[in-house]
Amino acid sequence: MAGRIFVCVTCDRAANLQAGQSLGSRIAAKLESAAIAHDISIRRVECLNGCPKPGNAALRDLGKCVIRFHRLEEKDVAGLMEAAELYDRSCDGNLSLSQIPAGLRDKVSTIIPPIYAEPR
Amino acid sequence: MARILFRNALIFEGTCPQLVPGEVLVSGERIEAVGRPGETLPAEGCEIVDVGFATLMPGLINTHAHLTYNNGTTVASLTALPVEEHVLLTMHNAKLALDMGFTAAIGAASAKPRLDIVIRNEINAGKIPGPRLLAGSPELTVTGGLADDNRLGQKHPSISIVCDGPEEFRKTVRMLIREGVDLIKFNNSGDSFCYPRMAAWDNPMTDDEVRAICETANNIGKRLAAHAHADSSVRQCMKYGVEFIFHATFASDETIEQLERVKDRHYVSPAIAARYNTTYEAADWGITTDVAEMIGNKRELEEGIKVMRKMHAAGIRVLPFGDYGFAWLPHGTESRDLEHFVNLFGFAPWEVLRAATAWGGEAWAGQSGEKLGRIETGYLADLIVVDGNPLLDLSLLQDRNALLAIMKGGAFHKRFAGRAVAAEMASI
Repeated sequence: MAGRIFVCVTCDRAANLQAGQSLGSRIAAKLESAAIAHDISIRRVECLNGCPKPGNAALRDLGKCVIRFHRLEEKDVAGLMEAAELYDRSCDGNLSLSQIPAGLRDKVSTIIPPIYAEPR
Repeated sequence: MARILFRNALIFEGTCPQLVPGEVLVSGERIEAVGRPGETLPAEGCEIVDVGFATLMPGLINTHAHLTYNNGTTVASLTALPVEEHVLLTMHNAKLALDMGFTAAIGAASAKPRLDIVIRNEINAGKIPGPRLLAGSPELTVTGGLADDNRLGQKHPSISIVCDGPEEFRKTVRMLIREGVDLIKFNNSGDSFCYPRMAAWDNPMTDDEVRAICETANNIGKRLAAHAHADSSVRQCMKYGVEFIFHATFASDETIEQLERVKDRHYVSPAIAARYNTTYEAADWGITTDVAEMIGNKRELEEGIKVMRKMHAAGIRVLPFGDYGFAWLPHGTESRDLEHFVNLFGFAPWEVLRAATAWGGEAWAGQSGEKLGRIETGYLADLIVVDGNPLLDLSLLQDRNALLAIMKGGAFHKRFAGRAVAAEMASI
């Protein structure tokens, strides 16, 4: 299955959107354009639970770590795509900070290990 | 009567592990016929909707919905709105639920006594968009229980009605039924959300109080749900016929065995996002994983995972969704529960979709005889069309752009306008 990037299209929840698209929608649109050349799908989701620091996206897959980014901007799209491909190729999604593109390292908000009550 | 024929669909029927190619004929508010592979249904007089081999499946059913919750950060803040704004917020949440493919919902507690009721009435009258809704009561609790946010000398309106003793509960249940609720919800356990007052494994309600609530509601044909983390809470639910057991986190092996014996009478709704998201994704609101551990939320997550795995193995109907409406599990993100059920509880994707549709439909219908949650002749035409195969990728259901059509009772909430995949292919 292709890798996926989840993008919160509500970000910035507190912003006045009458002026145009949300930050998240703009990031998602750029990712969708970039994704055509990659085996990555973009999921536009309603929230990634990081509202106080808007510009949220996440790498998630069944049985893998969750990596969530915040304070993303449109210029981060190439880095996100690169991280998504690394994540997709890894067996557990447990990317070290050094593997994450340099421009995104200080935008990693959460890394959640896969959680099981018992071995599958 | 409008007749709509869906053609070239891959059908997830609600209980079958595979998608099956076929056609579905909708007449009025119901499914009139389902054409199996190779069968062509008569198209005369029909609007034809060729979905181009997208997935046609039952609409999602949230059996533990809090449409009145305001994405607040504490239980006490959930009702911190004047009633006028609160009605509008609930109306918007109802539309959002339908936008995200939820065609039916069970109100699992309303932040103010009549909010679910008036929104249900407006939805049923066709005046506002939303899932077909059963109206829940506020949370009935005891002094000091979950959602009693008062202090001596400080009254704090919360999402609850505080009662003590069987007589107070009887009177309150009767009042709520008079006002029009479909379901009575009560809290017979604590929760990490009321730390440090009462832990999830504590049960503050006496048997006499639970009996009074249940007898009063059952006598008038109303349904029951309980916030029941503790082992003794789950046992009370079985003893007094509480159909919806919310959380069941600390059910012992013996209790699970007892529940297995009466599994046709109960549904279990863990609302696991209120544990997972709080433990791991709420740091921006000050709830780090360490804080989640201190208040007991992380323990609820870990025990809940173990218990739900056992219940799933025992064939107990464990249902997804629930408790969305807090800041870090806001409205519109409910379908992430499908991912949690696979990751945390070991469900196969088709199993969690069965729970989200066919079992949800049985739960919604109760003893009413209504049919919903499956793609079968005679069932309500509550359908969604998905741009891909959700059995291979459940995350499609988290993206409203992947929901190509949404139909409730035979009427489109969102009309099919082609597949994004097809458009993408055409542009290459």
